[in-house]
Amino acid sequence: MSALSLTHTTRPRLGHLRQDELAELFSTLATADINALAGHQWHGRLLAPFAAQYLPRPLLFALSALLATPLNPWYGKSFEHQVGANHWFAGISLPFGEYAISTQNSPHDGAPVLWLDYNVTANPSLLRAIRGEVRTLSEGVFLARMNWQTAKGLFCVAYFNLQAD
Amino acid sequence: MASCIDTLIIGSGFGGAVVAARLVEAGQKVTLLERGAWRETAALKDYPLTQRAPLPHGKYFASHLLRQVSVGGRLAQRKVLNTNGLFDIHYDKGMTSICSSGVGGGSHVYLAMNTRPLLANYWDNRANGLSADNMEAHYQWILSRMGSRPAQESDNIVNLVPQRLGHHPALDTKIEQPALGFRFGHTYANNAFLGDANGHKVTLDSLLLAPLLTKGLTVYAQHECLTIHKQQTGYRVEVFDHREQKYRFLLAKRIVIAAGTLNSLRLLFRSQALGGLAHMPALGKGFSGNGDVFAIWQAGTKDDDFRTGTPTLGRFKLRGLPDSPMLYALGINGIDQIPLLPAFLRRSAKSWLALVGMGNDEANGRVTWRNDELHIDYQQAKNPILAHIYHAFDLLSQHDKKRVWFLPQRAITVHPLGGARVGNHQQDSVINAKGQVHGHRHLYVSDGSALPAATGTPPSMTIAAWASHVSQHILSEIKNHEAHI
Repeated sequence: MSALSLTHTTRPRLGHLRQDELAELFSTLATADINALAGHQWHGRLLAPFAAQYLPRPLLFALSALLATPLNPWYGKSFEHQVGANHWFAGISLPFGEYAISTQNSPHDGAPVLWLDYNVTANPSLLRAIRGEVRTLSEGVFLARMNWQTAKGLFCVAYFNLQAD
Repeated sequence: MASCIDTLIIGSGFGGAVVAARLVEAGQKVTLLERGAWRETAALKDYPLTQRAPLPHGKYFASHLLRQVSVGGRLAQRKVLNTNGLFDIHYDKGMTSICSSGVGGGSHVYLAMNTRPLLANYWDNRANGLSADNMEAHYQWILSRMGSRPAQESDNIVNLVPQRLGHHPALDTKIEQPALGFRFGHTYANNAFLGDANGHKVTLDSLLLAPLLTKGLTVYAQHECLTIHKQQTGYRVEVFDHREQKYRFLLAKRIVIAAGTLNSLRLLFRSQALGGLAHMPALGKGFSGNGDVFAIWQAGTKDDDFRTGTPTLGRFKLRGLPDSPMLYALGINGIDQIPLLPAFLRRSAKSWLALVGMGNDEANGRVTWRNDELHIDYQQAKNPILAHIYHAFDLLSQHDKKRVWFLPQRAITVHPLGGARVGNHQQDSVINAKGQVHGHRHLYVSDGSALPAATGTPPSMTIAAWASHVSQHILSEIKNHEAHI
């Protein structure tokens, strides 16, 4: 590419990244330590949802910014040592969507991740197909991948980050 | 997990290419990132390289001259004009810096002068274990690889300083002339600061990098490194691939930063600001412009034509000026590559010489980080070498009765040095005598930003010698590590 191409000479913001870029970033990270996450509620920001991955980068960033506003009811997650839950609506922090936590190797890249398995009895059947993976981006900041389990395999739906309020 | 690169070098100029060559020739596998493209030159024509960018010659002059323009200080901003452009200009109140981009780095645009520092003891007492004596082997290595030698009469070069200016009563041309990294015996035109498409100037892409592509060196051209993050093991590097217009993320066990002084400082400052690297208290200290002062001088008559010759025609001193600075002369070599230049300008430029004064400034500038851009604080009044060079130009004007034009109000350099300098202590230096960033055993700096002071001469060989020195320590670390497992 040359002359009038879009150029990026500062650090990438997560909201700028497409799914394949986030996948490459995710594969460079070490697994999250449950001890660092447990006992806290973490604010999440949705990144690069599946449907948006072909958007031009400025629109992708705008969508990501929009998803970070209260228009998006998803607030974040909380973790205990073996279970955790999603939280909805910033003001009331309603828990909905639970998961079991374990450490295992990612089916995508074979390296360790903190594995969030939504196939638990408390969840409605639609949510039970979700599988999450969490790794450490930097101290106190985590990058996670949300997958959808189908009969044909595991498909990445979106990425999100988690950090303290 | 992403595969982890053993040694990642960021930058392909004298700092990066030398480390790459030394490591690969010792049997190591090395990956090198370069933000610019491979250049289209005759010296590379036999290599199967894709997406080569032309030098800014002829019809490419306007489109490929500038890569990036940046402004420091309160108005800080940076604009990339063309990722295949040759030059970066960083404007700052304290100093304006010009540097280049492309595989081979500054070797495309330098004047092929292969010189040692003005002071023979330049490397003494800089850091424990570092001395002029133990750097000597590294100078000899690079000078030998470059095939450096001074121009000789048998080379049939017109316009060399001793021949053309030797009669001038005000000039002392009987001084040691610089060795040149140049393939003598061919044509002597269009080979200076706009790059040499004929490939006669020895550049690092053809000398060191391209021949090693089949021997363990991988070069990612047009990949710009943005940040470095220390991880539990090794480093994560964020990169922008200008070719594919996408971000990439790499893991490396060992990183050598050699992106050129300003870009290395950008990388270190940004990584520090984002928490990727721990605080480096001395980062930005000891910045030098190498005493660069530029001038043009109508040295000849209308019958003279200085446009042909080697990239530099030689150097001289002024008689009658105590401690005269060294002044380097070059014809307006390359002017024929600028299209649409009015004929009268082209005619008159052929009898002009460009002069570059250099000397040991105090290396007392300070680079800071503001609004995601560098800010250079450099005070001319605290660097008397600049006034001394201005005085030399004034004296030359007086003796010659022809004006020497220069800009005394504005410090401009093509040799920014320091800012991540070598030393013993974290409080006043960024790296140790092995080139390792203090507190980071596997993070090295091998370019001009590591230099502890101005060289007072063109610094390329000193940067290359430093890079060679760093590479020997890297090899020794690798050997020690292998011995332990």
